[in-house]
Amino acid sequence: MTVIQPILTLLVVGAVIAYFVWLRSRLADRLIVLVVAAAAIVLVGNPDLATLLAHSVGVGRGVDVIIYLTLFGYGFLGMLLISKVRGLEARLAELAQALALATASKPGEGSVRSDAR
Amino acid sequence: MNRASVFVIVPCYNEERTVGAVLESLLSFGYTVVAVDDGSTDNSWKVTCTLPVHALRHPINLGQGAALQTGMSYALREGAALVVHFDADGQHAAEQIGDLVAPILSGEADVVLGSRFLRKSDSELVPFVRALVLKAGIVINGLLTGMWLHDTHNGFRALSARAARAIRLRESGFAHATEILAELRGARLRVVECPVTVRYTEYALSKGQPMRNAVNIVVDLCLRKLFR
Repeated sequence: MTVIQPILTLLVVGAVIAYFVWLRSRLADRLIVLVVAAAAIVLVGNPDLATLLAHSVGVGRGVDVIIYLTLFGYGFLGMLLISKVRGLEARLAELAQALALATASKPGEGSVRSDAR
Repeated sequence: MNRASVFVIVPCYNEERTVGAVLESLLSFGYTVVAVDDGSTDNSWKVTCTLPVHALRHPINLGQGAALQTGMSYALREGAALVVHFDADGQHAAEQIGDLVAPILSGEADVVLGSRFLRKSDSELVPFVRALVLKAGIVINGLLTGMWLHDTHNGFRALSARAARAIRLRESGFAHATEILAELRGARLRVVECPVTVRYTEYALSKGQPMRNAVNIVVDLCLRKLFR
């Protein structure tokens, strides 16, 4: 392992956490997905670019850089999905809670509530 | 104390064997009982509907934290002076509610948390493995919330109306216990602990899976930190 690899790993993990905790926005999500897709297209069309990029950051082969970037992309998408699912769950919970409050019954309303379900 | 102004919130999910007796015991003390059925698939809701309690039902299962939040929102709407969180599995004792709310009534505290580890006679009742997991939970809670307590994840607690209004539980699962502490600290509320006895009945033990719950809680807390 080269010296740069753990440093790069820490930087990427730190950047992802910072993004999800402080910087996330819908526009930024979309921009990142677009940038990753554009980078993929450019690298597929110009494999030598990957090798150049690899040498510039101290990694031997271009294919390794692509694997690292792919792993990063998968990790990012995974976290994006978790984040979206949690957002949906929160909204679903609010809806269910509002429904429960709207249909609450007081003591003595037993017949009403058993009919309502 | 006007006991009718104390709203006891009982979240319930598939507790048909115990919920009836638990609600009746609370009613016998004259408290206002708010039963929140969390989308039970057994007969819990039917049992609840036969009793003179305030009854609410989530159309789907959301988790204990969400049920407590629904109950608190309802209680505040109905003019509660105090709210008490009380489990539906028969682990808590209605006769201890008086001790739990006393520090709030005397103006000493805004929130009182029940603790199993303040009296030797109570802590001796906690099964060994559960006690170990709970102790680990105390450390994790302390690190995450800055509140170092003798017990955590004890569902028996009392809040003044002001305190209940100041917090908002968003964490649906078991991690809500840690979330409550973080919210209390954020709202600068006065918190004290009160010794309570938790009855580990065969039924309660058969339902509890402390290790699995502990792992779930830690994962939930990490996700909560990351995706606020």
